[in-house]
This record gives sequence, structure tokens and C-alpha cells, in this order.
Amino acid sequence: MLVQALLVSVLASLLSIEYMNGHFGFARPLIAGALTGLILGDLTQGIIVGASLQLIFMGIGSVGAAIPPDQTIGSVVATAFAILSGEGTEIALTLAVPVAVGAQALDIFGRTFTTVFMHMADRFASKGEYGKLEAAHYAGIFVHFVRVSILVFPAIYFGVDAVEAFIGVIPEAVQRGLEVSGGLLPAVGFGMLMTMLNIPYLFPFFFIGFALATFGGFSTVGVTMVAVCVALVIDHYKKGKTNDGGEKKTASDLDELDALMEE
Amino acid sequence: MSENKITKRDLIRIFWRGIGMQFSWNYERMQALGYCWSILPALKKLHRDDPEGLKESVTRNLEFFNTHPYMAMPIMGVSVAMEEKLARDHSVDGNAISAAKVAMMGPLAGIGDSFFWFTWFPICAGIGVSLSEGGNILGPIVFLLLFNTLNIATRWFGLKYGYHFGNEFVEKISGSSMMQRLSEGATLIGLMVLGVMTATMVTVPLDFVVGEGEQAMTLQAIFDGVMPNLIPLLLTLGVYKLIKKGVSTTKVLFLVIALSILGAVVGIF
Repeated sequence: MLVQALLVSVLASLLSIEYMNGHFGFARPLIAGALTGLILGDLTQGIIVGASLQLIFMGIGSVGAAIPPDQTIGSVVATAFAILSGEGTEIALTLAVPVAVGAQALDIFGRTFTTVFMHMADRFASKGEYGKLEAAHYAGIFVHFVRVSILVFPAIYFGVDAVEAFIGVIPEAVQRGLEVSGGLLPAVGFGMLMTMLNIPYLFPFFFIGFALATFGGFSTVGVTMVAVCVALVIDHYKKGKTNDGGEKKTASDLDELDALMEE
Repeated sequence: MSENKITKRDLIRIFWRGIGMQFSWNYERMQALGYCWSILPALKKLHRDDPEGLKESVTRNLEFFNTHPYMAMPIMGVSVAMEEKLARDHSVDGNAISAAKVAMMGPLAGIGDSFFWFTWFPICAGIGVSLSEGGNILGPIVFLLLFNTLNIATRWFGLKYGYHFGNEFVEKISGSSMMQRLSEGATLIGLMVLGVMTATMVTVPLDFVVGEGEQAMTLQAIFDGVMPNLIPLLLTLGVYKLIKKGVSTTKVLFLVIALSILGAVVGIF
């Protein structure tokens, strides 16, 4: 069991890293199940279980910053249990979602922790130490290796109940707090960006974008369309002012008239 | 002069690095470090004789960035073309590069998510699952081949054409008034996209219940009554003010995490 638990744990870590990097589809249940089957010596069963899990997780993909239940870890652990216990697809179907949800919490923790490397990278950049900056990027691999292993190895070696008990050791409020911080932290990145996009007279457009999304339900693509149009119109008027050629002038006057009539 | 030019080899290098772009993905700046890492060899080459310029360029590329991972490639192409122009004759403004990245990442993320995750992936997986019946190995293999043909093609051609497009574009607009107009336009778009992202990506779950029985309301519902997304907006503006005042982002980061845990302990979240 030790060797098998190790193998499954390493596979789960590698696939989780592939899930975030590459996106070649190896981490999806269909392939993750097949690979788990392969290393446990029952490829056929792995493909069968993987295919049924794929249908459950079909609609789940990460969109933007939202981290969904971890379908990769759920599939690897569930397939491994199905093969090791000999109980087949049924046990996999009951286990996959709870494990995926548990793994999601650790994923969120990992992605919060990597913020530290981001700040290390800032320091290395200001000193011109680009080798260290690259190392800060690679350090993320290690974090994800650890956060996957501490769940998957004991789950296979001791069983799922033991893992639940382990997670229970962390105070619930702290777990919840870390989970919540995942929703708050993007504000730090956005605040930084706003200091970069620093043309004060354009600042109201931040609120226009915000209002369109909040009250109008506009998606990013929708707002971008509006933004491009507004930018083009504003640009047109600015161009009209710098060029004092007669023809241009009348053209922009006409446009101004149009804008007035629309009001 | 010619040795400081981006060649196909440099683009191939960006392509390979782009695969590992999310090793260090984090909640604060998401793909920022990965983006910087992916184009770092190109930046080093462009600023070979100008360590200060390189430092500026690297720092600029550590700003918040997030998009669909395949769609990052065309953006890298465009921004590297702009970086090349900046390194050559400074006719491109650094802020314009940042603004162009922000303006592109939102819409391309939307297109990438809806096309690759919600259309192309289900089609390929559906075919793969149906071929897998009885444990047939053809299912997984066909899925991988089908899905990745488009994945790899999108990345490589996106990067290549992004670079060529960016190159032609910066040549055309390199007059200084043109550059300022572009910068303003891109900033306008960038600010609006930031507004949307603040509304949709920053979440502050105020589950605390006020009142009893029939009158019970969550704090969230009360604030939503005033204005939905009010707290995410105030949080983002607050962070902006702090950073503008010169408070280091690391301090702001720990403040936000401490606030989250404190809120959970007190029971607001």
C-alpha cells in the first residue's frame, strides 16, 4: 500500500500542476482516471471510472479567478479507491465530489500562499536579480506538490476518514478566513493596477465599468465593446481639436451636432 | 542593432515558457509573475545594454495580469512587440504597454473561457467518453489529440500573429501625439475593464445575520439594498488609496488576510 499511495500521490501532484499549466487535458477525469488505472495495474477499470467521472465534472472549469472543486484530485483519489477496494465505479461516484470539495480548500490555500513569491519577485526585480525571480516562479510548483501530497497520500494510505480528522485540526474560523481572503485579495492587484492607469480625468470610466457590471449585468466582453466605442469617439473629438484643417473641423462639428441630437 | 531584435527563436522560447505560466498563480496578481517569467528571456535580449531599462520593463510586467491561458499568447506577442519598440527608440510609453495588456486581457479571457472551456472541451470530452465504453483506450487518446490540436495551434499562431500585429501597429502609430492618444484610449478601456473586474471578481461574503425571526437579514442583503458590490468597490478603492499613499503592497496584503481571518473569527463572514 505504501508504494501505491506514493505513486498515486505523485501522479495527483503532477496532474494538478498540469491542470494549472499546459491545460492539455491530462488532468481531466477521463485521462486522470486512465492514468491512475495505469499505475495501479488496471487500465481498463481506470478508463471506465474516468469516463463516468468525466460526465459528472463536465461542466466544471475554472473561469477567471473562481476556483472550482478540484476535479483532478477527486478523480484520482476516487479511481484509486475504486480499483484498490475492488468495488468499482459505485464507490468512485460517491467519493469523487466530497474529495474534490476538500481538495478545493487546499487549492485555495496554495494559491493564497503563492502570493508570498509574488512579493519576493518584486524585491528581486528591484535588485536586478532575475535568476532569483525565476526561482520564485518555480517555487509555486513546490507549493502545489505539497498541498496535493498532504491530502492524497494519507487518503490512500489511511483512508478518507483519517483525512477528514486531519483537516478538522485547523480551527474552523481560520479555514473560513483563508477561504474568504481568496475573494478579497484580487482587490490588492486591482488597486495596484489603478495606480498604473493613472490619467485622473479618465478615472470616472472605472465607475462606469463598475456600474455597467453591477446594475446592467454586463460581462467583460460587453463592457469592452462599450469602452472601445467610447474611446474611439473621444479620440475623434481630441483629434478634431489638434487638427485645424477646415474639412476636419466641419466633420467634427457635424458629429457634435449628431451627439447633441441623440441627447 | 540587429542582435537586439526579436526573432522566431525568441517567440518559440516564449511559447514553451507560456505552458508553465501559472506555476506561481496567486490571488493577488494572478498570472503576473508567470507572464513576466515567460517573456523574461526576450526582455533580457531587448535590454541587453541597458540594465535600468530592463529593470523597468521587468517591474512593469509584474503588474496584475489574468486571462485565459491560451489567450495570454497573443497578448504576449503584442506586448513584446511594444517592448521591442520601446527598447529601440523609446517612442512607446511604458504605461501604454500596461494599458494595452489590461485592455486585451478581459475580452480575450471571456472569449477563451466560453470557447475553449464551454464549447470545445465538452465536444472533445463527449467524443472521448463515448469512445471509452468498456474501457477502450481509444477514448482518452482521441480526446487528447482532438483537444490539443486546437490548443497548440491557438497558442502558437496567437503568439506569432500577435507579435506581427503589434509590430505593424507600433510602426504606424509611433508619432508622439498618436502614442498619447493610444495610451489614453487604452487607459480608458483598461479602467472600464478594471471596474467590471472589481464588481465580478472581488467577493466579500457578509453572512452575518442581523435581527431575528421574520426580520432576520444578512449583512450582505442590507448592503445589497444600498448598492450591490458596494463593499468590493470600497475595498478596492481603499487599497488603491493606501498604495497611492506609499504603503507597501506587502503590508496591504497582510492587512487583507488579517482582516479576512479576523472577520471569520468575529463571525461577520
